[in-house]
Amino acid sequence: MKIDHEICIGCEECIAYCTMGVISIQDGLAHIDHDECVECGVCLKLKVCPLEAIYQDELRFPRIIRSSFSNPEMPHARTKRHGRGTEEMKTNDVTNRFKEGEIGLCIEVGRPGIGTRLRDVEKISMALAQAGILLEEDNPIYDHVEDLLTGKLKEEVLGEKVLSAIVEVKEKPEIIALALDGLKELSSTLETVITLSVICKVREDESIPDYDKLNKLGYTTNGHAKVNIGLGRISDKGEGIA
Amino acid sequence: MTHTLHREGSNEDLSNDFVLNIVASTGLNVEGAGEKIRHFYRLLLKHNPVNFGIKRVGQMYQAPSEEIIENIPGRTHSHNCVLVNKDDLVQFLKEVKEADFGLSVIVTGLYDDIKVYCREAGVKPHTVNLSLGVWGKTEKLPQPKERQITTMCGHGMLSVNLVRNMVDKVKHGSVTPWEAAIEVARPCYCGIVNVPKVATLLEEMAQEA
Repeated sequence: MKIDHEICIGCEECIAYCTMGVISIQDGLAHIDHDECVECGVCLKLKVCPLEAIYQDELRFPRIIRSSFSNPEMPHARTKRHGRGTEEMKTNDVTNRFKEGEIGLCIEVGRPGIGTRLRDVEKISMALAQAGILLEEDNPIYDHVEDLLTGKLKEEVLGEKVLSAIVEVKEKPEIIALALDGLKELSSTLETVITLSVICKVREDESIPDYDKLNKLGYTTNGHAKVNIGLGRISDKGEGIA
Repeated sequence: MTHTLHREGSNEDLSNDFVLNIVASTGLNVEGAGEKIRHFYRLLLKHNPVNFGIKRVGQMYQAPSEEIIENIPGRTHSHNCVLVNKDDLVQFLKEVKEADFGLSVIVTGLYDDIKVYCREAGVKPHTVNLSLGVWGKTEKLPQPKERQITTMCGHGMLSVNLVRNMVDKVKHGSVTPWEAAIEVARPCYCGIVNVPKVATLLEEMAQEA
């Protein structure tokens, strides 16, 4: 994102809206710190500049990654989907992607509101790979992996900054607990924050045995939950899952 | 993604804050989803939503509700709304079950409460996504009350500086808490910000400033 200094009058109206706080006034005009801007598009979309001095410059690879991860209205190149992750548990009543005996782990790097370079995302993908846990193929981070077995990302994307990126994996509860042990240690070496959640199937009697196993190993939810209430089903003709 | 999950606040704050999500799955039940989702929203309007939004179409406080609903595309995937009253939630879930859309419906809130409300509505938790909180450089985070507002948008579109700017404007009387809350919610295109709660928080923060 850029500001046309022929138009800007330095009124400061745009400053508060920047999600990364990287717009400042220099020599009487508004400037965007291009290296810190995540291309979320809020300043442009909301028309916060009364003179429309803010404009979108052409985004090429690798910078365009910033936009597809940070702006919910921009799709990712391969999946053509918007957002930072997958449908995960939201459609599990239809896909049966998460079964009993498995836990999904979502590690959102940079959330809430701090942002992250993909370098920190790589630290997490590499730590998980070292524990034998492979990344979810439908997740947009997968497209930027250089080596799936080591979790290494492509060199050219490591310096890109995004509002957040989600690392998604699925494994047995015991392995997820080990991964969480490693992440706890790793998190102190990151330049940002990570927000974590686990996905588990619920039994008919409302018990969640996979979460109980994790809980016994010392990992406890804060009580806030997203609950799929099981109303979905396959309906499209000629498609579907086994 | 985990967009609606990690709202911050005490259990008391979160006990009357329910985000609902209706989702069609690509290749599995997306055909005809648009009409079903329009029906979902028309049912919703009877139950006092405090926000809803359709990405690339509009949000409740930016355009007339019926206009937003009319413009939901035929092939569509995932849309949200916010309720703040338990009785509204239960009644709405009963009607959604009765309508039998065949699309996935997700409710975000405190799990122990949601379980009870599901029983009352005659539906059952199928899969759950549980928050484990925030790790890492937490010293970089804004103050807890500011985060109560900014974490209402999981995409991170609500700037803490906008919250501070609006607190200042409320304090000096140039906008009301309600006007400030609507402005704070504007960058959240999905419409999942609990606007009345934001107004209350901004008013409290202005008094404390």
